[in-house]
Amino acid sequence: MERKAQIRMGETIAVLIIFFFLLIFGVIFYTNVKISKQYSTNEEYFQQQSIKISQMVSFLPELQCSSENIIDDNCYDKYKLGPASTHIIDNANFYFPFFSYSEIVIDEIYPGTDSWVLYNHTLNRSYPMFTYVPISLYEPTTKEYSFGVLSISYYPYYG
Amino acid sequence: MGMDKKGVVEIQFNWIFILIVGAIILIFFIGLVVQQSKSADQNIAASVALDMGAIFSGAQVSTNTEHMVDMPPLDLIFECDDTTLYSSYRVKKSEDIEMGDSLIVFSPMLVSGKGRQVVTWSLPWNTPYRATNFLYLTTPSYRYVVVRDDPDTGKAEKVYNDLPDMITKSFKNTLAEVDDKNNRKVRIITFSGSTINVPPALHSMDDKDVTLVKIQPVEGGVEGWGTATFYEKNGTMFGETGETKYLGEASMYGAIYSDSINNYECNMGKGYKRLKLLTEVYKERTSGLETYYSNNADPQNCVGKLQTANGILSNIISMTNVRQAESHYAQMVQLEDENKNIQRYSCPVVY
Repeated sequence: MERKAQIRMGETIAVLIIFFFLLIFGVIFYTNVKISKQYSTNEEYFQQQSIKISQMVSFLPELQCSSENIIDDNCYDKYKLGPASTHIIDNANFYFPFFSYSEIVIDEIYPGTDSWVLYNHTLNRSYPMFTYVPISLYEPTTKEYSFGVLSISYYPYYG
Repeated sequence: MGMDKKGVVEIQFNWIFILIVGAIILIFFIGLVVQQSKSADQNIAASVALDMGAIFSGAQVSTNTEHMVDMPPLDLIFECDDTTLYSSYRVKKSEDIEMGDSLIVFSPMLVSGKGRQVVTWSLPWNTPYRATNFLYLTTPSYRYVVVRDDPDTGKAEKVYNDLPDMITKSFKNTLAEVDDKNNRKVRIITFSGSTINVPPALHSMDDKDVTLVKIQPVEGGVEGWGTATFYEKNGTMFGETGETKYLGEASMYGAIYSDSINNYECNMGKGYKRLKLLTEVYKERTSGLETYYSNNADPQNCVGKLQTANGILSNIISMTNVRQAESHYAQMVQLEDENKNIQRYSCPVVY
């Protein structure tokens, strides 16, 4: 009688061990699926953010070329870049919702070689995502255009 | 007998064992359900925040566009403190999500999620150069009624035609004609009238659900500057909640979309903050051009013209709120004229 009870108790414990084993396995599997899904969602979001920043830069009236309020697409006024970079850096809090953690640089490629750092608010603990946009730079005094590149290094913030 | 005693102990132990294990399993699953429920709430709030983020960034990079966006059936509450200019929105019971100084959103304070959609619209605020884009947000469950009242001009027709087709809007010749179409909220836009009675059809609606704004252009029509008077239903009459000003068409639509004068003035305050930052860049650019022409040949006297423009820019920098619309409009007109003059002499334009 005593042995029978011991065997029954052993069976019950074995069933419980298997049950909890399956349960823990299920939870671990579910958590891993969730984490990997979250990771890919984050990656997609960060890529979108990087592109969004490049669009934001292109549409800032502080930088755009205009004549009689008509905007010249993808063109940056050279006489605005100097004052704008100072203002953007001095008012980094205001521009943070636009540019988040990133570094934004405009380089003149041809014929000049000037460079303007428009925004610099980086994070040490994340790897940047880079976006490069070919642009034209306008010199209002000579009314001439030059070729340049807008470089955005976006630093994802993982919280 | 000894055997029976053992059996009793064994049975009792089994029951205690089952109870403990059962309780552990029950607690585990209850915990899982609570966790999932919390996570579902966070997911909805995050998904709305993501949608709103997409709407906001879209509005900043495109002008004159309207969109209908599907949303979960949750109420959005927009707040803007006109003293600190702090603005935020929140979804359901979530924490406030700060919108920052750069984002200017005109909307009713409560955008009900019952309509499951929000309609967005963006317009540039030209002062005379584009200072920023204003974003307008509402829901199809709210109705906007434009009342002509003033037969001499086409103001009402223009406003009615310019309002996005995606919103629920209607046009009436007189205030008394406004009917009840079972909308959650009704916003009436008039252009004249001194005694304002609530249309009989709306008497049964809650006071907070019926508001009115009276737009009275002073100079330059709806695209210039004028006054905007806010009213709220108080029984069978409209009670005035305050009078303010608008500058430019985008600002006037801000007064139409905001159902509270504080929210409108707060968002305009943010607009002026943005304008100041931008104008400082324009001013420094103009000074840079002045320096260039001072050091180089200047047969067209660009320096003089740019100096005049720079003086006007300094005056625009000193503007801080929409109540200065009259003097701001005067500066705008002067700058427009000066910019045309600068272009006529082939000097680099200010904007």
